[in-house]
Amino acid sequence: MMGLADFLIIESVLGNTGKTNKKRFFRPLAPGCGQLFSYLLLISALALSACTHINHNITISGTSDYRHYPEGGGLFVSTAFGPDGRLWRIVPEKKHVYVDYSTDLGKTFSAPVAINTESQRIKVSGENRPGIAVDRSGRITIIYAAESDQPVTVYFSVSADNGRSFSTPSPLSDKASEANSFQGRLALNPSGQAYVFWHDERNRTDWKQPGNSIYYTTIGNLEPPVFVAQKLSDTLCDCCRIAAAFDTDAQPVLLARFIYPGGIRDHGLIKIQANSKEPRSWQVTFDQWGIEACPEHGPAIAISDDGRYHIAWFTQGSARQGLFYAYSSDRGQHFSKPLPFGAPEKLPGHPDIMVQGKRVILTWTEFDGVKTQLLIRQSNDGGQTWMQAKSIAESTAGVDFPFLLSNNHGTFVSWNSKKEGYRLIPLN
Amino acid sequence: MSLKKIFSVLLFIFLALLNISAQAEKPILNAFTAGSYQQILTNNANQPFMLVIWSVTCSSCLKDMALLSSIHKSRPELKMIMLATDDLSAADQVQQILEKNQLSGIENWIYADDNTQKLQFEIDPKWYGEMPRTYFLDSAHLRTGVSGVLSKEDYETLFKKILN
Repeated sequence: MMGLADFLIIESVLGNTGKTNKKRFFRPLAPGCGQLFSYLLLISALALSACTHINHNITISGTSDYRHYPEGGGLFVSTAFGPDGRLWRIVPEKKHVYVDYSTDLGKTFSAPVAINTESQRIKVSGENRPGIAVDRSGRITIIYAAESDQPVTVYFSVSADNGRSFSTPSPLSDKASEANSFQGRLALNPSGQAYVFWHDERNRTDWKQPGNSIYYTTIGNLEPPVFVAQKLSDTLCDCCRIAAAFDTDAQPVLLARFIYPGGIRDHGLIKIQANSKEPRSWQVTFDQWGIEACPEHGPAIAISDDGRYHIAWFTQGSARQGLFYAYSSDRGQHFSKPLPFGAPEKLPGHPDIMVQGKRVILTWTEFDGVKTQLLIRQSNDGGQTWMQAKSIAESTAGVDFPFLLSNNHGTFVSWNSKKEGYRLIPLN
Repeated sequence: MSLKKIFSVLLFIFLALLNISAQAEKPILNAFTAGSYQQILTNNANQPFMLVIWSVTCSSCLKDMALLSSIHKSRPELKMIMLATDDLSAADQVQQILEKNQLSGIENWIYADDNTQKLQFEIDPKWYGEMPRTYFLDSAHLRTGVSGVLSKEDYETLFKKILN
């Protein structure tokens, strides 16, 4: 991401951005002209603030859109079901991150609770997104990225009172004041233990070396929380988020884009071992994408109860281009032949994957220049054969990536868009 | 159109007019919205140019900056346009990076529409958004699009292609 140390100047500049005045770079207009437009601007601002104020008073809670949010909400949200069936959502704005919930499967949401009471510069993008997880006791863990002493730091906060209040956000990395941490991935293991994996720049002493490190920690119930950041791997491609799932032995398995010798940006698995053994890491996609660029296109992984790994990823390699799916019946040692999915002429991207027994579901988006389509494709035999792709929703505005989630009410695609708002779309 | 949207549009008109009258002291960022790519083509009719698309969150792009800066100095005859795909809220970071790399004087743009997918598609319907992305356009605006960091030699080869 940002702040490579061979650009020390950039880092120091970024670190001070809070102090700069955005308007400074625009020189004053010629007299007369400037006055006219200042009036225009003032009138618009007054109209806007009046409108915002009214919205605030009327729609305190229970709305399906983001009108009741101070700055209109955000595009890159995350959701998770709680044990009581409530759908919890984390919504980033420019200076605050909020959590709200829905008791009617995403149709309406509660009044948002601000996580950071002190204003921060929130850092968010499709790849660098906030996360939320709720364990069986209803304890909520959230993560998000914001500027700190460094340009970007992953923060976490927890709520032990069903979302009524949250702990003061703290950095997850023990070196947060010295190195960037970002693109955090929050996941609960089968017994409800929260893990966070993130991109960390602390080991980049020689800035010509490729990629970041992956660090991770678990978040326990201790107050104040005590955790140790542990390193998993180097040479992680800087701009792609990490995917995580848990094997049948409850150990985390990560899928991420790495930089392999020759600048190849293909994917690898990392398996965390029990009993403090060294984590294992090996390459699993062989697309030969040799490029010094930021694809900003992370992969997805799911593991079934019978231990089959299912993966989905994007590549523009010389061997293949587009979105692909594959499975492995030997815990990632060998994978099936990559199966292409998505219409190549419609920029298919940002897949998510879920497995329920033999049922495997893929979701992704396609864009035809006007509309974004939300697609799904399903297999009922563990990924051997697949039904036709089906479009289940569309949008004509900016959209977030889609995510699959399920509870005892069913299986859903969670999809946010600027125009249509948040949608939880049930799958049959 | 919501009041907020009207307000944003008015703000952009305001900022755009400011840009016209402003001097190149601090990097001036033009708002890149639907139609801006065509506008760039129209503004540069019959003229070869290079369009560099980057982001403050793209580490590969930052690696590219020093070389771009030296190319800009050594080949002032070649028109270089830069477009940051960052949110407007990151405008100050964009400016500071441009300033530190002495790229303030060139024509700079920043994404100014929530539907970034649409902006991307208008530039190139086959581009997935990986960065840096550089387009080399000859005087007839026949173009070559390249993803990833380029070497000095790569740039020279591609310049030859568009300058002849």
